[in-house]
Amino acid sequence: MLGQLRATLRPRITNGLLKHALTYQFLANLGRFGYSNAGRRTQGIWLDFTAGQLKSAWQGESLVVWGNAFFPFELLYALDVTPHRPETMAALAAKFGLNREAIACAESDCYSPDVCSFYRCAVGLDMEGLLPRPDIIVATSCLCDGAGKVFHNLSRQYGCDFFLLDVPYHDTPDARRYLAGQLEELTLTIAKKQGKPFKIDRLIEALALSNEAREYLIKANALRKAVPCPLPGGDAISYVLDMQFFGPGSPAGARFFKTLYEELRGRVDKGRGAVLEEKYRLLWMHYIKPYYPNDIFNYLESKGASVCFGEANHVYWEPMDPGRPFESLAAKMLSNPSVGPLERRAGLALKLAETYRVDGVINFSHWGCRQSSGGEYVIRDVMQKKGIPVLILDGDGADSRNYSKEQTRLRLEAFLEMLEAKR
Amino acid sequence: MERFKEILEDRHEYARAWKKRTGGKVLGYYEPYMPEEIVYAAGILPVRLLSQHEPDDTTDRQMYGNCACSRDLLNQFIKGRYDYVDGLVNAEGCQWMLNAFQTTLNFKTALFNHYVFVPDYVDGKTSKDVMRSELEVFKKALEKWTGKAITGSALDHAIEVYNTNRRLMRQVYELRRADSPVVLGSEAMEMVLASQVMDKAEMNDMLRDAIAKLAERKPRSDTGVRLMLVGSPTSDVELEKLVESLGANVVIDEICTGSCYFWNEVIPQPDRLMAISLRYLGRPHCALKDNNWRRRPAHIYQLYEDFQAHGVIIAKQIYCHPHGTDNPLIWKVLRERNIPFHYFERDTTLPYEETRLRMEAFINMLKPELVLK
Repeated sequence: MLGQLRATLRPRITNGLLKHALTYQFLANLGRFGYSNAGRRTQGIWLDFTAGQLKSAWQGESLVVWGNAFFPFELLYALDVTPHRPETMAALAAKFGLNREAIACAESDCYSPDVCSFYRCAVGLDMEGLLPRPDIIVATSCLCDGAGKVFHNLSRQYGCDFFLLDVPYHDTPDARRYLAGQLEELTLTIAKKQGKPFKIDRLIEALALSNEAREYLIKANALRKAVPCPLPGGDAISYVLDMQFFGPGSPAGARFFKTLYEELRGRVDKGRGAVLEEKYRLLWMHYIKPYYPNDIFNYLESKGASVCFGEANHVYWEPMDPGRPFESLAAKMLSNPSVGPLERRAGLALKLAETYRVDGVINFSHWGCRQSSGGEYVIRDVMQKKGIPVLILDGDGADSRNYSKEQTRLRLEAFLEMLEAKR
Repeated sequence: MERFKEILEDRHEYARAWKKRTGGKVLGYYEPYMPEEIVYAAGILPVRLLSQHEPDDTTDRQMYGNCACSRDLLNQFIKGRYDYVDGLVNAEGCQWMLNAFQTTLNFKTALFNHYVFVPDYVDGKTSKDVMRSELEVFKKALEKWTGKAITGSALDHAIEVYNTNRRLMRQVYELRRADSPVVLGSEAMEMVLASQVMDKAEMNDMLRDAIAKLAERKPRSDTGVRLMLVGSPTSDVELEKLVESLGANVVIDEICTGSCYFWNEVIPQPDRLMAISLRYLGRPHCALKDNNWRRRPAHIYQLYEDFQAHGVIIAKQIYCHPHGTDNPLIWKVLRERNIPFHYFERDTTLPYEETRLRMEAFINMLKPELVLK
């Protein structure tokens, strides 16, 4: 009886809390004060930033614009809208155990189980009413095939505007012009919907903040060459990456990466690392990792293996020119090594492996990820020619049903044994 | 009709013989947005790479988790079945085919290769100009490869040959509108699949002959349940045949390797490349390119009405992302219009008994509606 009552009340309470702006006000304050006092300032900034955006979105303080990870959020900050990040919500849902129900919801609404679990999870969260209502939805066509279509399906549901940024395959002057034209058109359209003129100065300011974040990220990345590596690999592909996707262009983004650099600088100076005795240095390939509770990184670290860098954290774009804002944003998007011929990504993987002097590479093969899984053996071949071992680790970033602790551990164990034997 | 089936089944032999006979090059391509007219005008035989639907024993290592169609294309290259192909072109489509293209080039390094960017937002204001400029680059790449200029008259000829092919295929499909169609769904699909691996001029002659013969055919007395096929591209007619064995008939399809392949023509204009661009951007959208306006549901409904289908089979290839994310809208629209449909996911091979059972149940479900009509 009590169990039944608990089962009935728990989701209602959780849902109620997750939809309430006060919850996010509390979390933002926690980020601002609690984490800073505990010496984890970067996490605090991320929490403050994320919770602040959620509060604003639930309260409808300004136009709520949903965007995907590869969309240039600098534009949204310049427009003073409230950005919302469904993919981040999917990762957080996985972290807090809300993913299974959400994914089941999406699957009941015709989303096939082979659609990327992040999108299934986001759709399910939306069906459960756990995402704030959008006024506009934007998505990019690059990397994730599913983003455009899933986001468009959601926009139809809400009857709100949708824009797809069509990102060409080759990075050419024509491609940059095409993309820059779309960015400009989209900006003016959103400004029109807001009913206020677009101020180019705001975009210039956002680009300056983005450039500042970039500079500090480069410096922070350079510190990860240190032995032991000062940043835990799991952190680098969670809140750090989230800020890398969605923070640039905002004051919080610039503050975050400056703080990250300072924290890492401090750790390097003290000789402190994520792993006490760093035996193996690893490179993580893919933009994501499993976000539900799992022991991949803990296990690696317990064996002295440090994921010292990931392709996702690499700064591939040049500083943006405030004098040519739309072209600069287009150039940033097109210079992503995962856009275009596979040789670009394979070349980057090799360069990173050498730069960070890794002993091996873990290529995380996220179930349903179209952009990554086809190229992983090509990358493995490139690495193997240089004598760098590669483990292709099958898994799922958001759907914990596709995670088997023992199988995963067995594969990691075998990989580390191989690295040991290679010494 | 048998000849189409033979060519489809022996498509590799057909291409080898063509090559031997003409001394020309063969260009394999992956996606339906590849501008074949330009290739044909260069004297090259464009061949759509079609999967075999056979158990795959080679590609899991290379393309784990990719759809069976894309994996099979690599499988066939590894097994040497496409040894006659001199070059590969991928006109931007889904990520899986891009993976097949890139992975194949990883070991077939000597092949000519080219990537044609096709805007994902095909209805965008500047899409046609972007596409045209891509075609210009592609044309130059082909000219460099063959060492021959592609003339305006060669392009005109290619456009005419391809438009003729499209008109003839439309004629075949129009026959399926009849209450008692003289052509079966499997036969029509064999024709359209064969046309994607053949020299179009030769195909046109065969089609004219086939259409003349079809006019003499007696309509079937038992018309059965009329079905529409929607979903991921296919390269065989197993499903159509299975449906026919159950007394039904696929009277129309909306798939990339079926009607969408030939549905619209190039409307000639002085700027030939623009004319070709507009044709490809204006073709019935594939699930991946159907963004913003989402024209697919209306097109599907139009075909369903025009061909008086009684129900729809939605066949999605397992791991097909474009259809996996497009289907929620298709389901919604079909439901809103009370159109009966059956959804199923197909893999490398068609599990015959299981599929038969499902199709039988669906077809039987539609029969009472026929009585009521």
